[in-house]
Amino acid sequence: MDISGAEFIKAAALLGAGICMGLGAIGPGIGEGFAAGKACEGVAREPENAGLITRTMLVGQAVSESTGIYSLVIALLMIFVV
Amino acid sequence: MDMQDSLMVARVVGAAFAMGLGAIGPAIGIGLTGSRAVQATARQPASSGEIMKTALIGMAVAESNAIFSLFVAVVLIFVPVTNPSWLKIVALISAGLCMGLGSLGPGYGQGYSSARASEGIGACPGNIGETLKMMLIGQAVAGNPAIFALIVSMLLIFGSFPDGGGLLKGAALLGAGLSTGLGAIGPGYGQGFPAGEASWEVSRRPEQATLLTRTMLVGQAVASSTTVYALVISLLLIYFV
Repeated sequence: MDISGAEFIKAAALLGAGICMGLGAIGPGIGEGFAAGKACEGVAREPENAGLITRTMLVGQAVSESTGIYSLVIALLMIFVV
Repeated sequence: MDMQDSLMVARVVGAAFAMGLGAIGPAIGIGLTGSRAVQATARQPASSGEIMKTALIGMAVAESNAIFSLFVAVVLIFVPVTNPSWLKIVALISAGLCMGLGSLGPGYGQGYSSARASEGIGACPGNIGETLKMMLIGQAVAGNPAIFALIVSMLLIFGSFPDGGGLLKGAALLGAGLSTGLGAIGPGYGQGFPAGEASWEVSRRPEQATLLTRTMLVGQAVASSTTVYALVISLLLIYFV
């Protein structure tokens, strides 16, 4: 079986896309969960500030989400562009 | 060694990955629930019945991830491969890795939820109804990543992959299993955290149940987004490469 260099690079990119998105999903998942957990605590203690707490939680989660989206972009690039 | 022998090697290696890795997360989660239940019982021996009930229900749900792994391992070992090809060897190992890695996070997360619920029940045994409801909703949502991993495993085990794509398709199939498998760890672990805190708080303040359910579900929905990205990448790698 003879494999050309270009084919080998493409195969590595496809495997890399899977590993990239898989590992990249770990951090945001854990981090956003922590924000949501603390928001639940806060909402239960001070229900009158529920709107403010939910807003803060969503802003924090959105920022934490960014690295997951970088992973998604890199994975899509490796599938369709490389 | 002919193709059937090679496929059998892949099936047993895949099964070993599925059950070996898949036992880690649920076992740690269930152990955490057990330890918190023992603590709570030592502090409030009078509510030992309620604590035991909550802990056992929560442990059963956290165990479901290990049962998914067991199911995939049994399917890999005993169900004959209907559409053999050399690519199928990669697909079977990838399926095992996907389910094994995929039950790590949800197993721990669901165990954490029932651990906090057991603590809460120990302090306020009167609110067992609301607490159990909150715990079960939270655990059900935290179990999603493991279900995604099960779906991808089944697609890899029963899909037909003719030997046309060669090295490219093989790498893509391995990447597909790793993407959903690894991608389920973080969201599964993370979603267990709001489920646990909400169960703990609702046991003390049952009047806030509606608000807490809403906050918990919004938080879990955002935390699960990355596992959906991982599922999308896996499906792209399986069907569009």
